[in-house]
Amino acid sequence: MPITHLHSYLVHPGKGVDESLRPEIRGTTLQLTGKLFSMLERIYARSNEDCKTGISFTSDTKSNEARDLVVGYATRPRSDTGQKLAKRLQQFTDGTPGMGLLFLVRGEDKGKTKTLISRFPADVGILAEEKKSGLNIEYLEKVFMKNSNKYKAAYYEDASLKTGYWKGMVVDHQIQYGVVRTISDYWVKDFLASDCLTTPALGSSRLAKMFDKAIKGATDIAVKDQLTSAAKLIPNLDGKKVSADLLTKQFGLSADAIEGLKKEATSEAIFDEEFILDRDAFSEILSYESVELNTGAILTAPTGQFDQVFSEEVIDQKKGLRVYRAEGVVADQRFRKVKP
Amino acid sequence: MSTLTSRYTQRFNLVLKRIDAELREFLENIVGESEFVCKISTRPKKIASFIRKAEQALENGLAKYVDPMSEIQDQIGALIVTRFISDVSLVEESIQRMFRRIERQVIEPESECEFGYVGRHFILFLPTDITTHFEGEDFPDFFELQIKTLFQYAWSETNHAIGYKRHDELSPEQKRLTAYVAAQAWGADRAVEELRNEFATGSSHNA
Repeated sequence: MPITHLHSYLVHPGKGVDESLRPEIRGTTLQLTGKLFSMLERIYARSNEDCKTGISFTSDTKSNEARDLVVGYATRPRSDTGQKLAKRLQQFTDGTPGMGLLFLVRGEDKGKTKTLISRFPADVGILAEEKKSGLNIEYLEKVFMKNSNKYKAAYYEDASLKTGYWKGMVVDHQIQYGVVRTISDYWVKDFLASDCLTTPALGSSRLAKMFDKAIKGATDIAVKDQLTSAAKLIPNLDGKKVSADLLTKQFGLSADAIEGLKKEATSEAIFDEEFILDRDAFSEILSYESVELNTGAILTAPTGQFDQVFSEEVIDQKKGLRVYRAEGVVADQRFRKVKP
Repeated sequence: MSTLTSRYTQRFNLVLKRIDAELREFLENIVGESEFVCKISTRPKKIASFIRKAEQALENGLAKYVDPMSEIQDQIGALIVTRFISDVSLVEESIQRMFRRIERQVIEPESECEFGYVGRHFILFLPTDITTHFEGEDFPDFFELQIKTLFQYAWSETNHAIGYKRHDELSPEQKRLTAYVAAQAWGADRAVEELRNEFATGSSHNA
């Protein structure tokens, strides 16, 4: 989609600072040519693949202050409408993210408008300039894009600016936890007044069902083991941004295990979709762990407690023979129509 | 056939019917087994009804909808009916866990002396479990969900069946009759709720 407008603002932290005392925001309208434009054009073009977390503005009354500003800029892409977004970002920026450079990129094509909001953190750097007389070294405090892959971005694309732009996609290249990333609250919850489009409960129960079916469907015991081990560890990622795809990388699952999981996703997009993990919703689905022996014996315990309730002893590694022991008072006995 | 009718007819036949079926199944999976729920239904908005709505005008004569295909948000409608009043909030909680929304309305008569339409309405995002099946197709982002009790549902259905009119178009006698039926539904909801509570706690009015 061709870019029609491009604005940039230097945003100093202003969270908790009285409005009258906040540093002034200076901005500029950028030309649609040159090296900087080319770099931003690349980010703009690849944002559809780069931004994988769906978000939606929060509202009970079809009204959201942050959305009004995004739509305001998309409708009238001028320095003053962009400045309002920069001011909102300043209001929620404290010393932790620090100073940042905000870019607003708007494009239009085939009746659709796409607006990208991107923030690059300020960094320090050293400028080394060779001169005839020697070398000039300078310490720089306002360096941006030293690593041009370290940024936050959100984009909105819709045909209608009146009723559209309620959902967007984001990426946060600044926060990472292993392979799994998270999203900073100040960017999504505060600045964009949004939540992940897929609720933690929905994403997590869907993920648990995927694992449940894949474990049941696996015929190879090694694949079953891998998936079961991963499923036991997933609740530890409570509150982190995950996707089935990211988790396969986080736990280094084998190709067969990944294939088994993928088969249980209703679509490729669902397999890739990122959401915030809710350990309770995940555990609600996978609440019991069972081991079935070839003798017909089935041992069941609450997930996460199996190893405490049963002790396991391998008595013949080659044949895979094991002895399980459990100790306790009989609390109940029952018949079941189907396997647990 | 107007351009709008033809566009909506195409969306209705190609997409809305399929989304409708998927949404019903999705809702069944979330609250279908709940003891609080006695009915789940969904419907794509009928073509004639959509066109009627799209042609509505504001008081100043201007069209209410500039782009009806994206502005009319009840192209898919869903209804969950509960047995008891207190179940409405429990169902709402389950829905809130699973869906994002842009609107929540508790609709009830403005004055405590009036009886009329009661219900909870929501404009919710269609879940990605459904929308990812329609990538590249022309579909709406939202659907409307209503949560009502059996008696609220009965009142609104009969009201529609006898020819729903704007309240200010009714004669005084018709207003009284409508209010009477609504009051009966309101009273029935409270009576069954009270009975349930008494049976649950073992207490009674006469005890």
